[in-house]
Amino acid sequence: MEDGTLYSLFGDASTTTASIQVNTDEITMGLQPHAMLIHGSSGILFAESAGAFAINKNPVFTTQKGRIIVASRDGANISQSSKLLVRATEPTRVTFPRSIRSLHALVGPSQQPVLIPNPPGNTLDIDTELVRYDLQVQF
Amino acid sequence: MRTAIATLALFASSLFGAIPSKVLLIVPDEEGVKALSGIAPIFEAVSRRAIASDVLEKHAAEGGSFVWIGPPQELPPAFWIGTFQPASTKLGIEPAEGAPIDLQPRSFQPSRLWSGFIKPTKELAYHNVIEEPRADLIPLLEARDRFGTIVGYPGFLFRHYAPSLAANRFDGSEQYYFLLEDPWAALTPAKWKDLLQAIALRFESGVQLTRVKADWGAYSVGEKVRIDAEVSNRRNHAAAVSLRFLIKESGDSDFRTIAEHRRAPTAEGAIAARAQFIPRKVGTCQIRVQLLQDPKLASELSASANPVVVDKRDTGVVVHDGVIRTGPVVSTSGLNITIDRAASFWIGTHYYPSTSWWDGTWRDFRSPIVDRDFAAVRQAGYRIARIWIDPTLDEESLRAMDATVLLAAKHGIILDVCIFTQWGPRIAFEGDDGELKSIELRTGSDFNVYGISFRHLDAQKEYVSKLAQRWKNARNIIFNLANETYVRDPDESQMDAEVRRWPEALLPRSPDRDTKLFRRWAQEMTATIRKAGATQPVIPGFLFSSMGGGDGYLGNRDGDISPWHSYMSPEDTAATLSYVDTACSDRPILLEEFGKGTWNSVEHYDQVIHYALAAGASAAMSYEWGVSWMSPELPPHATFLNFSWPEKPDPRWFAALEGVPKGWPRVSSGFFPAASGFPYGSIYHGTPFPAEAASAVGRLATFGPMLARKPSRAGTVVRVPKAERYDLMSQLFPHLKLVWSRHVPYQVAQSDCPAPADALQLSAEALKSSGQTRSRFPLLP
Repeated sequence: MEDGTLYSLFGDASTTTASIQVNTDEITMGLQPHAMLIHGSSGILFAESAGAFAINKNPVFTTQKGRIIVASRDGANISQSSKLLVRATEPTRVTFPRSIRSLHALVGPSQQPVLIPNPPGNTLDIDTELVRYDLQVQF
Repeated sequence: MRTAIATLALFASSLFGAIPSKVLLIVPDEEGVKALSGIAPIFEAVSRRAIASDVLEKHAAEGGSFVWIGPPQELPPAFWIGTFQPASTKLGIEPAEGAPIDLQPRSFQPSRLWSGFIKPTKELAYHNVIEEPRADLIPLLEARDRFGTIVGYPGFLFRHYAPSLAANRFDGSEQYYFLLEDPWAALTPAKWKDLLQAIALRFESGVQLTRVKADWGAYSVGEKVRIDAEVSNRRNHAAAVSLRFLIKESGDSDFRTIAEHRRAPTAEGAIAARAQFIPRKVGTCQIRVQLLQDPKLASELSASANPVVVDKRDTGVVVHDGVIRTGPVVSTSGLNITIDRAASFWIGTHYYPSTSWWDGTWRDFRSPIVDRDFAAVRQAGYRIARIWIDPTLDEESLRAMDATVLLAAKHGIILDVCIFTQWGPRIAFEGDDGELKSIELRTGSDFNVYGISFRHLDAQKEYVSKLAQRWKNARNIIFNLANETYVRDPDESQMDAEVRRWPEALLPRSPDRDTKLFRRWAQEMTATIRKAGATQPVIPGFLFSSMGGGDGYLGNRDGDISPWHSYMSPEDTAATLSYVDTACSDRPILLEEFGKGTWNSVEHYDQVIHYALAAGASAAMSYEWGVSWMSPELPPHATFLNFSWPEKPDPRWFAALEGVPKGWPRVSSGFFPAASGFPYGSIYHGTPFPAEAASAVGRLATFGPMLARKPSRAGTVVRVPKAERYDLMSQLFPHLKLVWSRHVPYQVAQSDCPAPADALQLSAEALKSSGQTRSRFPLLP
């Protein structure tokens, strides 16, 4: 069980973004029509958001379509974590403010990591095949 | 364009007498017609544009067969075939295991494609009113993504083994589909010819395996398994065939033959054959029956022939060591359900795979499909599946349910086993003397005690005890005593003498008495489970609290897990979950059912999962997975709820029930007169593939351990009052929505839990003023 508090945000058709203040962090995110985050002692460990997700105006990730679920795999704030678990709700392009070092799909009930060749850079293209998988992104 | 069809009709009796007729080879264009002409005399190649949909439907309805090659353009809805594209990319294609025709591996090029699935003409397809095909969707080709995961069936056979229910059509029609965007790029013309010649061999034989079934779903090692196979002959003369029975036990690399019988079905007749074997290994045992025939000498019954396989059909059984002993271990820890001691926010679903719903599933049990489906359920992230116990516990139903327990365990799935439901008035089981005891728990007018009964308590305990004894070592089980229950002022005529003496029964009539009666009934049943040696978690059962049928929280106060069901909006689901929240008694609350009566309601499912998590649910279970196979017969049971209410019903009756059967045809059968999986399902029916709604539900699964519930430290405590009015919950839960809308972190204190003196009392009086509400709540930005 992770240390932290789960915040769930629910919007309506007219509300597409939201921001909340947790301790010293101001977090902005996209609602489609909901978003979530877990804020723990080391910062934000988990987030689900449409559009741009940012902490104190520093972008953490941006998705062109749908929502992205992101979780820290090493206990660090998702903005600094070297390993993120990522899942998309629909095919999309996700942009991070840092370069992706490697990308794996977690396949099967045992979540076996399978390396996916990914062009160097900070974007992750999630196509109609990858959208079915949890992805492990290393920076 | 229709002249081609007229020509076809003339061909219909050309080869072997009246049956079989010409098989249409439907291709996307004239190029295909040219490429595939002359492959076998039984085929008539036509382009899709040259054949009108109504003509094609008529052809199939009369038992005609076809092979469809190319994109799925304007398939007649009466075929019950839907399609979806698993990916926009090119996918690998390989033969499906057990396909009834021999297909060569590594023949197909990666292709853009569609997968087929069973799509009813109407989601709420009333039995015996809406035509339901008696057909199996049999995979021929599997589409695999870049990781090797099977994501679709681009090639499949929709085999009608009997005339459709309600309309008596399609008998014997075999429909082969190869749904490829560019079939000529996917497979060379030469290889198409090989493939089609294999299909032609099947058609020319005129014989078909119509049914292969083992007696039971599960056996212990050393018990004899009996397999029955049935064959129909569509020729107008007798034909020689052989039936070869093969098995492949757990760990075996190949099938081995256990029996081969020669038979000579008469003209347009049917025959049966039987084989028996004794399984030697624990695990799943595949059973395959091959139908063989010498294509040249089939009608020369005296000839010693060289038969080849013209059809095959698979089934299977589950073998155990005499005790149903399973993991993973489901338990609870504080606010969470645990699986093998791990807490998480778990995802679950309901599994009623047959069109005759659960009342038919255990009588037409298909363990290979259940095995396949549970693999898919797990693959999609789900860890809990709910099933309902057959009202009649006999060898057939018990062994099918044993198999389900074992197959669920194989895939790490917990079964939420619901024992009593509101759908049937009667339970039956074998007494100690070997005679079937059939007990009527409710009469036609017991609509104030709905879902459980206070009659025949000893029989109920005996029924429960049989299950608990049988599955006491199955650690992947949660016992759910009752499905959906409404208790309102039961009178003495509705109670055993023993129940009439309970202190709860002697209370003045009130919601408190109703709740306590349910709680006592659940205590009695739980004690029976424990006495039988079963230690698994128990869920007493959902109470219709929002409709005055008992207090859901207090009625489940002794349960290891407390359930909630909601078919309301996502917001109302969350608010009602909060109303019955169990945190103050340090137990998990489970959103045991949620759904919407429209197939693949992705937005609703996606939202409910998020609202349920936010409201503190330890798990959320969709209603339901979907239909996996078409039942070979109409459901046998009468529709108990299809009851004509009098003009002045008993005021205690559950008023919502009056409208439930509205529109249910009198000629339909079944506890529920339609396959519930069609309107409520979330998969592509007839396949293991989750549709968008099922995927949306499972998406948070991997993140579940992060989302396990912890005790709230919120400063605002909302106190839920004890139900003293029948309409209390419906009056008050909307106020919890107000609390949500004000962005107030809160925790819930139920009436039996301590709460601070300044706890916000959830009452109409306390909350009616929004101004007051605003001033009391520390609003978040």
